Amino acid sequence: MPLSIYVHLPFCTQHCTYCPFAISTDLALQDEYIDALLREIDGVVRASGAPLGERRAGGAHHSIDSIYLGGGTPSRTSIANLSRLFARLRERFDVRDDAEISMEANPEDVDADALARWRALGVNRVSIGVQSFHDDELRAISRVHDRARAIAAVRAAVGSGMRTNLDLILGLPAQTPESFRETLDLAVSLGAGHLSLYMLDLEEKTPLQVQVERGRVALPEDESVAALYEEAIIRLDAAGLHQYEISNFARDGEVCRHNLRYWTRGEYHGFGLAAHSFIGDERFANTRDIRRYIAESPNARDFSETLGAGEARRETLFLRLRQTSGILYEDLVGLCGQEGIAWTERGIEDGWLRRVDGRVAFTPQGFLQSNDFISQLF
Amino acid sequence: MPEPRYIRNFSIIAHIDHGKTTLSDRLLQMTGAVEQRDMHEQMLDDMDLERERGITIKARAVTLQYKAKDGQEYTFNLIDTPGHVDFSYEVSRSLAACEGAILVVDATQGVEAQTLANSYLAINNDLAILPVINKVDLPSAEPERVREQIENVIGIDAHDAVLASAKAGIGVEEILEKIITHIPPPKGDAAGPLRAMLFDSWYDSYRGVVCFVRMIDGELHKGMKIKMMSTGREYEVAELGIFTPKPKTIESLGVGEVGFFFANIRDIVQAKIGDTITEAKANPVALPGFQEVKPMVFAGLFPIITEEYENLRDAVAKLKLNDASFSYEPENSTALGFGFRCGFLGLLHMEIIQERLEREFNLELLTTAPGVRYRVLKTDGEWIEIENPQKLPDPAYIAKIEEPFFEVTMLTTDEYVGPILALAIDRRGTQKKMEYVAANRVMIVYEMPLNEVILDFFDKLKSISRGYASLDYQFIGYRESDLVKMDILVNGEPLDALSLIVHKDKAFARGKMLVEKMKEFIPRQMFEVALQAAIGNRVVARETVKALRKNVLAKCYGGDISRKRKLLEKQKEGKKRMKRVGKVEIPQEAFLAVLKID
Repeated sequence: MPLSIYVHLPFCTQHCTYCPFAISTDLALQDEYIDALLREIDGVVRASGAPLGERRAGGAHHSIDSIYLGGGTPSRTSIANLSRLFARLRERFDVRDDAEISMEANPEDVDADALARWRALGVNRVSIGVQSFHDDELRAISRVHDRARAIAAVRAAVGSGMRTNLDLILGLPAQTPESFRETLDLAVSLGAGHLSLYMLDLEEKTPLQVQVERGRVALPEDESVAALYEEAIIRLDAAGLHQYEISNFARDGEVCRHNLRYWTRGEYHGFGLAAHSFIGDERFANTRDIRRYIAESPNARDFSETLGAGEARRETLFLRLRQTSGILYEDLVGLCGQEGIAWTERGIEDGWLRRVDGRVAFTPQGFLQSNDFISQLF
Repeated sequence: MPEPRYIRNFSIIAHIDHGKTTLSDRLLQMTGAVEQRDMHEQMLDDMDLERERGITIKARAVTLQYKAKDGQEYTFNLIDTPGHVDFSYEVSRSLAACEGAILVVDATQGVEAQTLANSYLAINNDLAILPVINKVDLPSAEPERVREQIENVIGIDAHDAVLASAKAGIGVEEILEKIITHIPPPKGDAAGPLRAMLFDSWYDSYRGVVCFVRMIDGELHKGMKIKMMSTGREYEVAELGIFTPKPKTIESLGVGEVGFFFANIRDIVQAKIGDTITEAKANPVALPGFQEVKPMVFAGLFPIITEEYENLRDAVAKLKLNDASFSYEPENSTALGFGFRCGFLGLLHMEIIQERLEREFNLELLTTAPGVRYRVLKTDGEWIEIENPQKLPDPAYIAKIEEPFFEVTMLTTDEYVGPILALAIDRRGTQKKMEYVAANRVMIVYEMPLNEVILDFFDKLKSISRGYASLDYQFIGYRESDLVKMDILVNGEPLDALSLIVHKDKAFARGKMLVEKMKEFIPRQMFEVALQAAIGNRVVARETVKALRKNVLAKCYGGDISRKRKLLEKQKEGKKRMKRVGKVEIPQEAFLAVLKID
């Protein structure tokens, strides 16, 4: 079975107000951090009795078919450090020639030169954190770039022939239906092959959440966000970007292999700060504390759980149902019995679910209610 | 067997926190019943004693030996009384087992309504009252003012009230001596046929019912054939004992004594509180004051998970073994499925039962708003009793409806009189009495329908008086009222378990407030939820819970699947306390919204 690798590169120039991820703006820690990352890669491979993805003759077993550099802002990492990282990964793992190697980048870091250097390291897919093409919206969430910079970055990426994803956010402060539509249309016309369109989740304790709570920042109404989400699905589909997961859209052949691994409960190993792994029936993660990570790697875990049948069942349900392909009806009945049958009938009657080719999947309206509706099966 | 003249039987009457428990503990300690090293907080309240055979019994009466200053050894029986108005009949029987009562009043607080009510119960039972003004060592103590209050409010002589601090041990010896001089010894006919009053009973799953008795005439001994006079049922005494406070087996009980026995009684309904126990063959005059206890407050109990009905059925049956004042009968609600309509002595009793069912039987229950028992005269001349609003006949067949009325006594400092009167009037009260019982202390007496009292009256009273007002109430009878049934509809479907009977003049306002309150408790969900209050076909109020437009985890990447799964699991968990009615999830609070109306 192929394995995926996630590498967390936490450094950012500044903290965007909506971001709940483990990041650091202390760029001076970068070299030490990469050292720790390399120690973790070495450590994990040495510690496991049956080495994960270790290079071996024939190399079919546990070969790596996707690598994802996420952050933080991976594009802030120096080429020297990225080189060290990729060299170590290739030394320790059997990275397949056709592996999908994605890297997140912020518009201010993306130009033809940078793209060429990343490509030389093997990167073949870039995910650009555009979020919006409107300066007032970008300022409201403390992004570094502006509209012009974002357009230039996307043009460079698409022009370089590298597979390109754009991250966009629906429901930003100051966002209007018109500005959102314009962002969406621009993303399509710039030629992106993949869009991640996230409705803003106001995460606990983020600066934005505090601002909203105190009434300093207003967000668009849920009603408007929901309507725009439904509209976006139709617009993107018409433009050839087909929805394949709640928040993800791709042209034919551009579906992100790495993300599918998460949603199909495939195995992956995460390295770095707060990185999550799923191996066998165990999920585990590293600390979110960068100093602790640097000091203690490769022994910097602070979470692990072994999944029982119940957890596995619930994961299967909610992860499959996140995808537009949904779940095979017979699998659903197998997992939920009579309750699953009643649930499906209820969902179809009320328009939350649709049945296609023996599968059960959410409609766009259903996706919007999916927490409530999926948890009914839990 | 002690001679009656050396026995003293008494209770302690006190408002909550006025020091009853501390004084009880102190008496136990001073009489040597409990060694200093065994003293722990709340000896009497927390007396689930493990016996050698693993039987748990609650000590409701403790026998103490006291060597008085005159050199004579006395037997004191301290009989505990339940401390809540729901159990006033039980209190009256415990008091009837005594010749005297120690009235404990907090020197910093003064007389409260509960104390007043229990004092009257004691006076009506011809008990000698020994007033004790407690906590005199506190800086804010005003013993003279409290002494005056006792005389004015309760109407007893308090000039020689003991000034005490149970906590500091002040005055306790004086209390012990005054128990002997102030409280008369029991009287009875040692030769006569057995007469003993059952003042408490308790179900033990190993030994059957434990009966606590106060001996009046004759003798009770092991192996004796006895008879319950209210039912005529006969039993054989298997074991006899007293609490010292450790349980101690004895051979017999004589005139004036207090103790417990087992007689292989399997059903607590056979051990009725207040009943007279006599010899199997004898037929003496029964002791006065016996009543069959009747539940006054009714509510539906439904399992949240429909499949748990069988477990609930077993649980209520088991609980009934333990609590004769609790009643139940099956109820079938179209909205909530199968459950039980249960009867309770009052709201506290209802809470106790619900908590026991949930804790001891591991059930998750939904309780509907409490109601009362109505008497309905039908147009065909038949009287029926209704405990469930759904069973109210069509108005066309009703000649009149009567509802239970209570006399409600409230004691308050005078600054809260205005709001209290407003509350009482709002609750359809009729003023019977209002008078100053001390410089700034007012006693207010209203007659009020019980239905209004159980709808959160006590909490409201406490909140408008900042906790200063106290309350007591007693049943005075049934009276005719202009009542109608109000239905609550959820998305157009009547939610039968939420139907209630309300006064016609208040129906509109209450319906409006009820649906407004329910709206607060029902979370937004996938659909719009319409809430309506209707009388017959006429909708009197409507509220809408708007649909939740989006509830979705947009971002699920980066591999942290556990957190997302837990979020959804939590969402599911949050719904466990909700009942699904059609497509609508309704939390328990919404079913009790009628209690939360301002």
